[in-house]
Amino acid sequence: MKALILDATPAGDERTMRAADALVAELTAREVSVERMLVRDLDVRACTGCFGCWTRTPGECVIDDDARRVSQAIMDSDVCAVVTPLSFGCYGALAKQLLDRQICLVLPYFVMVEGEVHHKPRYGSYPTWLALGTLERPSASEADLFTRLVERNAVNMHNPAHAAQVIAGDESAAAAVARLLDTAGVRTEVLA
Amino acid sequence: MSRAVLLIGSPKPGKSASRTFAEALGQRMDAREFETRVERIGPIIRDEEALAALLGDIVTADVVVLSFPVYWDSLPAPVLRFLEAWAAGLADGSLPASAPRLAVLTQCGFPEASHCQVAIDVCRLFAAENGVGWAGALAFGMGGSIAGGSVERSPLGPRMKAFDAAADALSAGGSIPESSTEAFARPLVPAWGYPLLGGWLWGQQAKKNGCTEPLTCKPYVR
Repeated sequence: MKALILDATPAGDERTMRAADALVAELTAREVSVERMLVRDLDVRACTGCFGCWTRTPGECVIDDDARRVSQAIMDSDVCAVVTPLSFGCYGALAKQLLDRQICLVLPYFVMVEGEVHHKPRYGSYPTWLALGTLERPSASEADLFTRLVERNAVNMHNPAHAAQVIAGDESAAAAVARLLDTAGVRTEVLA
Repeated sequence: MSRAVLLIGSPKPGKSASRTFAEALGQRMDAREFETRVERIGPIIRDEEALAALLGDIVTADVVVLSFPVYWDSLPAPVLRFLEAWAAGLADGSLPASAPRLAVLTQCGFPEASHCQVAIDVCRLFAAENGVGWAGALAFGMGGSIAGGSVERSPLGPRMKAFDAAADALSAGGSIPESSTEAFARPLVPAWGYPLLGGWLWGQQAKKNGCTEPLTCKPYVR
């Protein structure tokens, strides 16, 4: 099993860095191979809203920067995790700028999913989607909103499983990460 | 004179639903004797001085309106970055604690406005956490149907009474009425018909762009 960690830790954010480190450690302990990308070191420009990824260069963003490399890495993974400080219950802007560039991974065409319109999947399979958010202080409102957001993302991105977890203050990152992975069913593979 | 700052969160420099919507509200507030300023967030967020100047201006406004498309079920990154900067300024004391009310105009490409709810709630939570008054939201689906045109002549035309009521309320120091929010949220077309209509529209757009590849390409297949 292969995991991609999109580590959107801003410079100087020790709490989010510790969360990402804990995620790497736990995935490794569960015998999952890990690729970690530090988002702040990537060259990712903001989405321009041109829909070129659907109607000019189908499946690929028209902007040639690291977002394309990330798209490939997402689709090469079995598990994709975003680690980010939370902003008002949402991914931080650093993570969001990268995620905004990933609508190329679905089709422009529509399909009804449980009575609501969504985009059709472009690919036959997608990775499990994990989101690990950090906060300076506990906030049930932020945690609840983040959970709802990640759930909406997973429906739109056709992820087979998803989970969101928030680490606040001095809460144990290891415990939160274990809960995240357990919720999403990410376990050590038992080789027959 | 009361002041409103309307911020366009679409990255498109020209026509966009966010611009059309913001300008239409701005015109209505002008007519109700508000001094209005309309700006695009995109260029400002890339310029530290311009951002500081904008933040200095909004904290003296009576109403701030964010008009943006839903990206990845929430706010586009530049709009989020703007809110982060606003919050950081309040937290470090570089911005005075102030009480502009925050209202939101948002839209998505799906027919259902419900896709906009998380984005609205992010803005509402920002307001709650930062001592900013919440003045409600208007959200609608099929955002592309008003890009570059006039709201009055768009499929939203029949909802102008609700739009005017929202402008009245904001101008009078209140919040966008629930009745306006509900009127805007009603789908413009039945959801069941949208997959057909949407598919056709994307095909037309691709043809216009001279795209000869099938739209179902899989460049990142494993």
